[in-house]
Amino acid sequence: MGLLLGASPALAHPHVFIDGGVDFQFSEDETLSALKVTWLYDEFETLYLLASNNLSLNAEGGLDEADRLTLEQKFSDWPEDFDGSAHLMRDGKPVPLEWPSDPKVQLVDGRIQAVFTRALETPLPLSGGNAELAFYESTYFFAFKVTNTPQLRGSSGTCVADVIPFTPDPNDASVLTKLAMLSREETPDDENVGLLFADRIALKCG
Amino acid sequence: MRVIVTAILALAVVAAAAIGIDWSSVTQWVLDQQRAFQTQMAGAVRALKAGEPGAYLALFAATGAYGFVHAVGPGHGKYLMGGVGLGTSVTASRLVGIASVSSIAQAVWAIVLVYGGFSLIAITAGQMTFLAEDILAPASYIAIACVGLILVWRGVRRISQARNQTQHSHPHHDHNHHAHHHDDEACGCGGHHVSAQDIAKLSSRREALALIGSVAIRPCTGAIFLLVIAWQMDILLAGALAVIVMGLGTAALTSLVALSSVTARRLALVTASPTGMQSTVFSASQVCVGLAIIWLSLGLLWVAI
Repeated sequence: MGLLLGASPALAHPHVFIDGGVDFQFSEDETLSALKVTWLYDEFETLYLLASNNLSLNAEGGLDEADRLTLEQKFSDWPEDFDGSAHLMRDGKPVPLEWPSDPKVQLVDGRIQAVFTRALETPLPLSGGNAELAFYESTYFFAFKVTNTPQLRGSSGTCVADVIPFTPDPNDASVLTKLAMLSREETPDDENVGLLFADRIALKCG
Repeated sequence: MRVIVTAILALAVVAAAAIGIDWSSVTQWVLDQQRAFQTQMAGAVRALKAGEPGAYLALFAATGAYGFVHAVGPGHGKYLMGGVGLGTSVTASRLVGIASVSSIAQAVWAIVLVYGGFSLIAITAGQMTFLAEDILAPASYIAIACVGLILVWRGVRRISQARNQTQHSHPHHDHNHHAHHHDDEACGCGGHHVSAQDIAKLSSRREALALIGSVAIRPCTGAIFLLVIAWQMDILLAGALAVIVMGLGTAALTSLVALSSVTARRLALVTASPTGMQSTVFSASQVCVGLAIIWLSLGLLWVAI
């Protein structure tokens, strides 16, 4: 595969840069039911994604409909060890999510964008509480960045979402040193390296 | 006293090389640059496909810069070159040569793997990445660990030889050294020392090839990506040349490291007292560098398997 997360090489330094973000779908009164995840691949990875699937941009630099559908099909077929990119936490515990569904692929300014839904296994009432989402891939082969303002859809009530971008703490060089220590091609998979550099979205209700 | 100071200095240099001190501040910068050059590469590839003039130049500029910047993030090949520069009496020009050849060999190997794999055995891009990450990477770590082992073995052997020599010929040893061999870091009183110096040198072609092979065996992921794109877009020559230029960019950086490690070793040895302790300091740092290389490469091997 090599196309999707999880099928990625287990040991790696960021080679793929993905912008995007997460929108939140509320079913009823301040109850979170699904995440809508957006990935916008970098220009180079866009070309690699196409090439590795025997596809290419057309003469106008666009994506033919048949090729777009092929890619959409690829994004319906997730590897067993898919690790995700949207990691939702409530009270420090991970909230289980359903497999990705309803993928939509399109070309945006020469970059492939994939949007898909991840429903919560159990809808999560958030009234008077909060949750946190970290946007990352654990081996850090893929470097994710929240670039879209999170949208709250449905009965979000008083809930608000704030993006907390990753900022290196100048007083704590240990994180960057850790990354620097690792060779440019290798990152250990026994550690959640990606989490160390993750952008986060804080969700607060009431 | 000067000996102790020198030994500490030598160890500090080794430690700095091994731990990667001072790299933290450049890491974020490296990532930003890498992303920028990656985007530039993609733009140049598209321009090339569209037949725009100057696209070749743009592609080479982007890949050369990518190779250099990517290698700034402490890479394994660089640790190895730095370690060998500190831990053997290799000359600067020779080590720069080895560093350059290994980067270019790494690029050529990537071309052989991707183009060869696609044309001869119809390998898929996913299998290619698997080969690079899961088979060739561990192979490279093992090879590099062996180089570290050789360094340790040589250092230990030198120390034990020097000890034997001191026990047998103490009275005239220092005198001889002073009188005739001021500028030679391992003094030449008899066959023992000559052979000790010989084994510390990275002199044989076979050894140089082993060093080059241990680095080159593992192709760079960025190069593989570019070659996969070039193959599919049918711009084979441009892809191959661009990857060679990427290797030259990497070579420039690893050569800088090679040069500075040899300079650091010289500095440490020049300040050593002229009492014949240079060789002990040198041997000790050789053992430390060897251990550091073994530790780093086995650590990476451990997480790879």
